[in-house]
Amino acid sequence: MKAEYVNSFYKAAKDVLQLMVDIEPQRGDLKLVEDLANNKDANVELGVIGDLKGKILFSFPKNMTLEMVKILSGMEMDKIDNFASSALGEMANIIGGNALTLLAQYNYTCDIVPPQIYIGEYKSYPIDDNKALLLPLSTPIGEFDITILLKENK
Amino acid sequence: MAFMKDYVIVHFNEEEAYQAEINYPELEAHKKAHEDFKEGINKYVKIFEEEGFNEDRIQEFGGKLMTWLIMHVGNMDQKIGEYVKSKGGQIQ
Repeated sequence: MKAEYVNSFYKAAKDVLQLMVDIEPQRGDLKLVEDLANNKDANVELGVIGDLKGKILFSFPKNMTLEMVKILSGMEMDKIDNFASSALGEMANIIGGNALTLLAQYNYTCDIVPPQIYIGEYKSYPIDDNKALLLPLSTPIGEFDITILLKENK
Repeated sequence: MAFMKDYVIVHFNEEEAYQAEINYPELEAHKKAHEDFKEGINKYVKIFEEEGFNEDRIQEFGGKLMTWLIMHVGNMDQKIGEYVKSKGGQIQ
């Protein structure tokens, strides 16, 4: 998998989080993982179609999700309800859209399939033999992951 | 929902007219963002018409609306201000 994919998603996540919740995520070491899975509390899956095909998984811990929703809305919550999960899904959708705009600069034309939100552990069925890349990101309000499973479809 | 639908149309039309007036270079991208948003609102109008107003769906709509608006105003709308400033605030 190419560095452009990871860099585009990292830059998009950094820009969106800085703008929306005034937090700058720092990237950790990339890990190669067997499939698209994560045991964090809130997972948002985005499908990618077009010149690149695959899935992106955003995985957030509960406390970080609630803290972001608090920064955005001013509301304190103790559980991830439909309001919080929908806000998280939309944020991941915006990050994904911005990442695809960045990827267009490398001549990849892609679209996003609307987000699916999973509260609780997430595991998808393996699509094929491709491995995914897990990008851990740390912030002052918690650590989250972006797992990228993309292959060229040109 | 009627307020949302009407207000969105009036506000977006006014904003797009202003952008056209100042020859804003990103007008088309901005119009596309407005169109996508209207589509999103209409999707929920249809859901509420079909399912009635249930709490889960209202929360879902609220979460999406809040996030979209913060991003749109904080990013795309700010760029209009930056453009006007870059022209010395004297755009005719």
